[in-house]
Amino acid sequence: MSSLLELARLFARPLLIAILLSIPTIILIALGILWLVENEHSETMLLSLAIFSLIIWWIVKLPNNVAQPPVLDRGSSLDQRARGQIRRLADESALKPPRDLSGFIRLAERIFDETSRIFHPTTRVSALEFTIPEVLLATHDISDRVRARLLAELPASDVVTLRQVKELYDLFSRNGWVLPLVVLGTRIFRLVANPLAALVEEFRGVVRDKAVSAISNAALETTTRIFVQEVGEIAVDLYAGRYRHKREVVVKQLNENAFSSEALIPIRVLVAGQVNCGKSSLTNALLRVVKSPVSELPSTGPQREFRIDLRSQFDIVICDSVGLSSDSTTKSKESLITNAIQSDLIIWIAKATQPSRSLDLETLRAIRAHFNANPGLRQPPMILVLSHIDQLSPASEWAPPYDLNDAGRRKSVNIKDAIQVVSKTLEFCDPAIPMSLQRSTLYNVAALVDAIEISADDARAIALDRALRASKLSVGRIVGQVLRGAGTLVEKSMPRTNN
Amino acid sequence: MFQRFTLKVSNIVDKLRSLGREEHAEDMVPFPTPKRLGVPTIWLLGKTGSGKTAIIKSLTGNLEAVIGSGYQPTTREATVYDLPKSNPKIRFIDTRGLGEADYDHSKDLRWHEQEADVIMLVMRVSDLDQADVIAAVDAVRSRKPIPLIIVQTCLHECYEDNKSHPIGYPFLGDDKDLRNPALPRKLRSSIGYQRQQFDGIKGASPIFVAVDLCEDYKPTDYGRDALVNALLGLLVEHAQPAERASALGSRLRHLWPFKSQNSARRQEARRAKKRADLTSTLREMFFSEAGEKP
Repeated sequence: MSSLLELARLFARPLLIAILLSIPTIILIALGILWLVENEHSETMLLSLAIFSLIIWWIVKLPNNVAQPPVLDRGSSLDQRARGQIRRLADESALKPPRDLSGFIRLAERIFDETSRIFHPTTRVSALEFTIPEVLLATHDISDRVRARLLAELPASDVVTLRQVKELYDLFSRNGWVLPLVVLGTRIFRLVANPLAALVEEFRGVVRDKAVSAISNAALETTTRIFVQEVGEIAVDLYAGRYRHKREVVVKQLNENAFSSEALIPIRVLVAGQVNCGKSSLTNALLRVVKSPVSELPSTGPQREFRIDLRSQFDIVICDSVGLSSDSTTKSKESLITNAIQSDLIIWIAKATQPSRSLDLETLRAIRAHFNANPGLRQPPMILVLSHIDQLSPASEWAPPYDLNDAGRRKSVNIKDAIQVVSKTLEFCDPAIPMSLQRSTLYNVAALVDAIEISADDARAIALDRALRASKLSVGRIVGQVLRGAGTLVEKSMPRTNN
Repeated sequence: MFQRFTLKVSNIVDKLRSLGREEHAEDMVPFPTPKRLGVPTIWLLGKTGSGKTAIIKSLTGNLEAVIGSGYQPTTREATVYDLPKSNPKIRFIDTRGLGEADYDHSKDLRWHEQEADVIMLVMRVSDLDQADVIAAVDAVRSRKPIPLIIVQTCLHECYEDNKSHPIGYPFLGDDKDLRNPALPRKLRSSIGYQRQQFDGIKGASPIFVAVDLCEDYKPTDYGRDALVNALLGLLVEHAQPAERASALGSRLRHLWPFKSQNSARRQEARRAKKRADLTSTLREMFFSEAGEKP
């Protein structure tokens, strides 16, 4: 009753407004009926009423063709037996609930032990023999399910969870990455070292606010029962091999995500070359809009990065680097080398009308040497672009397309020759892509996009490789990914717990 | 006696030179005729593809000068062009371009600076990365203060949509060029940027000349006259080839304590006459040779 009153108080104002608004409509209905009756149209009204009733009745009676969700097969005989065993174990341990964490660990061990004996009577499969992703999934499920049930059945525990989540976010915001990384990092290592202990540790996180020994007896009984039932459920799934399927689904989803437009790791394309060779113009040509400022004077600003979705097939971050210059004070060469090492695809632009290429060659050699010296690293594919072909002799002529095999046209011959010379000088195997990048004479962008498309698989492999390497080098990276996963899972589980 | 002494000195100098040459011999392309003629020598220097050989071809009318196509280095070793060929009055040294892949220029620079009376620094107006070249010239001029002409070439690469030279060669070689509305905006800003790079350079301030010798644009010797005039002005001002031949003699004359006002005036007049002679011979030479150009 009290809750009804509360509801009424809460909705009094909107309810009043709704009633007031509907009064004219209701009056109108009454007046309309009165008018119909007075004008002897009552038969028409009754007829239409009958027809509409029939239609409604027919719709209601129509057989429901929507497929019923298939009933989950929970009932192989082995499962039944295992569940019975677990129920008995739950009753048994609820009478003597463990008083400390090691007790819970022993309990978990027993659950896994008994379940495995039911599923594999001859060979004993220990929990340690499962792959880490399976155990990770199982752990996550346990904490999720135990938490959800505790929230539903133990009113005090939702405070704990909320605070826990809040703590995580607080730590995150206060200390940047450091602290939650440490917390999550140790969690992962613990998992690898001893999955069962990790399960319990997860469980402890749920109730850690109250020391296990301090929980009231009744609460502890419930907690233990829930713990055994939920851990047992997981153990059944794990030994029945269901996690393997679940894992495959997850891995598949991850892979699908990796190649969709929302891939976690986009390909990083570096646009490099001497000052004023046309880097910004090329970037703009790929972006199809002017985003990078183009100037005939060397730009001194920092490099710019743009994200594009090229032919809506791959996600690319284009990095318009600072031009190479012989002015050693700008350190352009060094920064370009560092930049190139962190890229997945390099577009190297050589100006057709710039025969001075020692700077390009020195830088390219340094980049190649870096990858030769580190055989574990993969050199990103490089695409050579020959820009400013419109200024090749005869410079006053520009009438593309040019057939490069047309020996009769001086421009064609020069373009073809320049491609060979530049590719050879800069030690590229593939011929350069001839391009003109000025807006008024833009030419051959499609060929470049094709070339990017061809190298995209390699580049993507390198992007993943780079990400993996980064994660191997720093715990932070893995943990970051886990945290991101944890974040989504927290979000997912929150509404459920509110029900 | 003095003559004998002079001879000895020149012998020693020659020997020293040849020693130096041997030292370099294994590292560098042998320089064809390294011996000084006593005529003014112009050293063309610049990045590869900047148009050094094209300038020589235009100035000397020498058909043997091979001009590149613009996308790869052409002049792989230094070449000497004398004008006129028999009884030379002026000499051009065309050098290998800087910044060519796999070419270390430092030794060649040291070699050429001994010969040069004027450096003609050539740069494409669209190529704004000249830091290396400027550093090289700076190093040379800190050792020997050689007068400097900067030739900005390939103007057409900075033309906007109008594909023809600005009418009537409106370049003055000073800051007025940067505000001249007759020049395309892109050209002005590039010219200005390049000239600005020489603001703090050591020694006498350089002379700037803009030329375009590309054969696709008419006239094909756009700016040649301005270049010749700048060169002649510099030569007449700095180089006094006749006096250099008896350098020791003039030095001794300076030691002579009794100098009359008259003799000084006479000397000045003599010098002025020599300058005028040189100017007229060179001018005649350049402009007649130009006529023979194909």
